[in-house]
Amino acid sequence: MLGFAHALGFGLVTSAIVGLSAVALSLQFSVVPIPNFTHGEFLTIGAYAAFAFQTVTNNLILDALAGVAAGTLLALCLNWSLIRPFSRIAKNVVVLVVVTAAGSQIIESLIAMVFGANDVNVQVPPNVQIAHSWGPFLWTNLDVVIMIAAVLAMAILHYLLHYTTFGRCQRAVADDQSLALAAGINVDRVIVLTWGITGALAGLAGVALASTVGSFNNLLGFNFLLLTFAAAIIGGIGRVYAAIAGALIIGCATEIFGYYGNSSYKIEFALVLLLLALLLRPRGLFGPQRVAV
Amino acid sequence: MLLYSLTAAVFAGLEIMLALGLNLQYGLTGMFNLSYIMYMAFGAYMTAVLVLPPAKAPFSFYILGSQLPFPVALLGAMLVAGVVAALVGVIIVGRRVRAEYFLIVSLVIASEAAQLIAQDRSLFNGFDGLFGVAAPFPQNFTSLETGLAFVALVVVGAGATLLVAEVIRRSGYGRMLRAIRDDEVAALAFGVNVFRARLTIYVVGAVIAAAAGSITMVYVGAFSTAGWTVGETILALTCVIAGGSGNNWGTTIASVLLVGLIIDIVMQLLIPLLPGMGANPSIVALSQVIVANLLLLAVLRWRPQGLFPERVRRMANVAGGAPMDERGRGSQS
Repeated sequence: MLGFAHALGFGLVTSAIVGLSAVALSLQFSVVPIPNFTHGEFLTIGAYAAFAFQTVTNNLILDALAGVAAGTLLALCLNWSLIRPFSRIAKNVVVLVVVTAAGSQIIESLIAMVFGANDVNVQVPPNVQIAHSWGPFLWTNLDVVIMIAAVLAMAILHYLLHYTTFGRCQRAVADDQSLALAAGINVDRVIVLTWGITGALAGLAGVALASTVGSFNNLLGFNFLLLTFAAAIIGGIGRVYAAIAGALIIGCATEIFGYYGNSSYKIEFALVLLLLALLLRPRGLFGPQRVAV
Repeated sequence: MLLYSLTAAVFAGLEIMLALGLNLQYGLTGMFNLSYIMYMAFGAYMTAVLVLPPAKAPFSFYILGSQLPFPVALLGAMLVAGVVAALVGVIIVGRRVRAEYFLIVSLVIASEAAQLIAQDRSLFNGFDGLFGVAAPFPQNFTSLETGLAFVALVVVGAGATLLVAEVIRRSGYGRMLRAIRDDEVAALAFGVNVFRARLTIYVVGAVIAAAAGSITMVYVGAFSTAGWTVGETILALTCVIAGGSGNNWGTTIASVLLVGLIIDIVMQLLIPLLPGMGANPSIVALSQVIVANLLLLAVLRWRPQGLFPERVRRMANVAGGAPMDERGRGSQS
């Protein structure tokens, strides 16, 4: 039973990272309905920014903020350079996906050029990496910090979406873009800000991921992309709060499967869940089965 | 230099085969299938285990090891890929999966398969992959003769693929596929069995990819999951889109220009000459990826119909609405 609790504990940490990434993806999808294959690179650039900023300071919080800033910047650049111009000329969503996939390949290669092909790692002080018992769970201080950061980020996002003018506009645009436009909402501005928040959350997820995996390379985020899709889609893509539930399902299911089954196939187990979800309930497990796009 | 251009020619020919198979799926039928490269990998692996002698237990593990001649192995690889594609296709093509979800489903299938093969050593030697496959030509061939023989082999392969693709495109069946691509609901209304048509093309594309993979295996001599990336599918897709989606000849020309000329000759020779480029040995490969993707973006931005747009015979535009093609007749043929 203790083993199960430990596995659940690891699952919650995984859920926190997947959740940051999946909420970011879902938030973007709610106003720009494109399965963004460059999303993984937001995480990668966040991780590398934290890595690079470590030469300046060893303060992990400041390094994380560098990652957040890098993710934000990349998301804004991506929207400005690829998504917005191509959305105007291509109506076919498959073409837009190809555009983001091409963008992802370019960014991956550029990162490998700048930082080299070898693995790098974000240095974490050894004293935060010692696991101790927190009730039935076995967490390191780093794990706890990651979970607190994720919950904080979600709380801030919730505040932004529900208690600010931007949030009301954002939800209006997500609900019905043309109606929002008719109501005088500056849709372009909302979209740009949404990309910014998406990049920030994904950058934070990248730093969290990098600090837990040890060493990583330019494929860090791309390899995490399918898990992100899994969480976002299982919740019902484009629905921000459902993505949190999706992340909890994916994160806990992988770690619990890893505990009872073969741990080298735990990611594959999550992807099987995604396949089943896509084939059986293509519009997500929760909420009305309306067309999400 | 001559030998190197032969290498470039072989890779261009292989890209023609891959791109034509993808053109059938994406260009003609409108399916963007990210599991495409998986069937090339199956083709390569199956060829290797059919050609190689049995595995030597502590060093390598793989199934079969039948020591068959290459032509038999090629056919076997195509057959196995076709059967696998039919089984996978029934699951993923059949549902009413939206285009962008089909894309994710197919990507998931491919990455699951890659993980399974990388981690389970008993099937195809796991992460290390298979190697030591000899060229299917007499031992006493010089390297020049071997190179020429491979060029001949890919010319035959690419020619046969082009023939098949053109026959499908020009037939009534091809018209039906275009109807599905352009307006699925209308095709359904005309009584087209959309599921069966998509499944058929999914399998045909997989068989073509397997043939290309099979030749890749005997040419390169080795294959592992490292050569199995989304980027390979995107490169083939670049050839399809740059050549003009749905146009087989355009796809062929684009493959030769992009892979043969730009990637394998121009970039391979020019980039090392640039100052400061010697430090990172992977820089050539990385810049090839960047240039190929920039070209894809440029084509999509400024010439989305491709260099050689698909020619569509149009019927008289009586209603003054959107031009009609021949979709109505597709179901009768």
